[in-house]
Amino acid sequence: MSRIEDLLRAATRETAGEVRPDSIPPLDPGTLSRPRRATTWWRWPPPLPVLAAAAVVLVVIASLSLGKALPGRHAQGGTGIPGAPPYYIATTATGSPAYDHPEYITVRSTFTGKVLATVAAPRPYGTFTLVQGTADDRTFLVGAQVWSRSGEKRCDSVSEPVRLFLLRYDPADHRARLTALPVPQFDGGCLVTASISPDATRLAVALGTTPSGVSVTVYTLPGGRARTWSLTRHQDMSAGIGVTRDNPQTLSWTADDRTLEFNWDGLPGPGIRLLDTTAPGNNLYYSSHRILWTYGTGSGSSNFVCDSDAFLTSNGAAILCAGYTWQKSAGRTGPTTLGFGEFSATTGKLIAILAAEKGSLPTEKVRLSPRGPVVTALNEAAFPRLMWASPDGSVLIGTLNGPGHVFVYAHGHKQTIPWSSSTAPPEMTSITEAAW
Amino acid sequence: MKLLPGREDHTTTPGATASDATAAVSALYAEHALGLTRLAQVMLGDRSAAEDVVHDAFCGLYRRWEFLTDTGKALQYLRSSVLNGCRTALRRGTRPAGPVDVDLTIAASAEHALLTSEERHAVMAALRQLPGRQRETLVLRYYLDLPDAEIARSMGIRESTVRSTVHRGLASLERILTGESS
Repeated sequence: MSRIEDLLRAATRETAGEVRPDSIPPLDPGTLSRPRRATTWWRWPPPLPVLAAAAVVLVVIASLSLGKALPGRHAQGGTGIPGAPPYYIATTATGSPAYDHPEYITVRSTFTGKVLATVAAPRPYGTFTLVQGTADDRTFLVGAQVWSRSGEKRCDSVSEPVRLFLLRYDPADHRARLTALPVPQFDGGCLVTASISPDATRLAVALGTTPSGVSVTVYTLPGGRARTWSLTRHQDMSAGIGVTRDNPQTLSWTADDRTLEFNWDGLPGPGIRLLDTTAPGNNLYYSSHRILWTYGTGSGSSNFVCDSDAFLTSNGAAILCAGYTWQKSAGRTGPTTLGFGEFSATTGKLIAILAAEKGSLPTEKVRLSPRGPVVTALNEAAFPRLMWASPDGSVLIGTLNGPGHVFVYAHGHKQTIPWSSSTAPPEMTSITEAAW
Repeated sequence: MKLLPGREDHTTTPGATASDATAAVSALYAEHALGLTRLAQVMLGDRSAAEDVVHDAFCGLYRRWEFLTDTGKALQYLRSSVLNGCRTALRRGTRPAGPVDVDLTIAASAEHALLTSEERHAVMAALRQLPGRQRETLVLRYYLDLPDAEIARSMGIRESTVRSTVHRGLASLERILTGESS
């Protein structure tokens, strides 16, 4: 594919993305027999009597519309949900044991699970160890690495260097192509995660290094400057980015292309922090500010407990996490409500529990601590997980009961999607990961 | 515009009622309004005009619903209607903003495959300078990823014409972006 074709494809997709799923006006069946000509019709103001009559008609139509549900409004075929990404990528282990040497990435259809393309890790790296989504639903950020026998793969001081690539899937010919990003390979530390800004002009990388602790570096693309935010020796050297490492947006850009949100796991407590990458300063902690305490205790007086890292929607309006309600009266083994908690980004208050369903957590997974209930990991696969969210948080992909129950949630409805056991959701100890 | 099969001979759908049409068109709207509005947005660069065009397309489908013998082709009909509506809107003067004045050089290296916002605006401005047919084929090919046969059906032209139009459209686009005279 030529450069001009690449440009055209990317530009048209980004322009189309300006139309957000929640901005489509509902169809009023009463208007179907009347073409709408607003752009030309309103150029000449209609006479007042016509306006008055139109106002009456509008009131009547509105009252009728409120009184009955629109037929078929939420009817979704088996092929997709508006606003949901059509493709995802997953690292695929081909050797034995299963969770070993992920030599390939498969591109799959979200709604059928069908493998659309398979990409082998480039030489000399041989394996893939990181997958992330981008603002373009056919472009992904992946990390390739020479296989390390250490348990933590890409996140180990003795692990092999990681090189970042863009993976682009082309539905026209069902091929996926890798392009090396013009940034150095990451060596001698823990590459926690990476994220590309929505306008694709910046790459943010979170690194855990010894002895300087955690740091975030932003590279201007293509091939530009680097700026790093780190901690001083007097700060919390045990701090990290990401609490459970199962969050696709542990580090991610907001829609303004300048603010990074990240999950802080350090003193005075874990939570979401925002970093303005255009403001002065180079201290990761003091240059950023916390917007929500998230892990373990949920938020404030809410009894909803985030079971994994929470993250900010890229429009900055809401904070989402997967979790459950905690009721002391029900005891440790009592029934609970599982779901995705939606918190206000400005007040931190729980707005809603989305995709809620009744369920219970295994006894062994919950223990009490001075901070409240804490989940311990005996069965990682069954953890509720939020795996993807649209920029405005209106469409979600995740699971409440493990990899056999991954679904897309939109506008109050769930659609279960096929999910192979070999592509389980990202887990703390698994190298099998998926990204939209 | 190529009409749906059945329109020419006025074959009606047995048992089709207004409520059937309302339910079916409403369901199609729920499933395809977003995609079609995005298509119109790419073609027009004007959100309000895009919504008008899409709404009109669904109205047209509703009026013709009883004549459809193959409702599976409803999306194709809608897509053709949206393209027609975009042509009309552009003729009528609902035009997007003019070209952005940027110095864009097409990079030879695939390593620089990232798109800046300036590049995006320049590409979209250049796209909208192309003749209508070239613009439509490029959008259907590179935005919707439609195969040539489906592009041909949507536009009512031959597949060979699709291929040659895409070729000419890409060449024109590159000339505009690199500032070369044709």
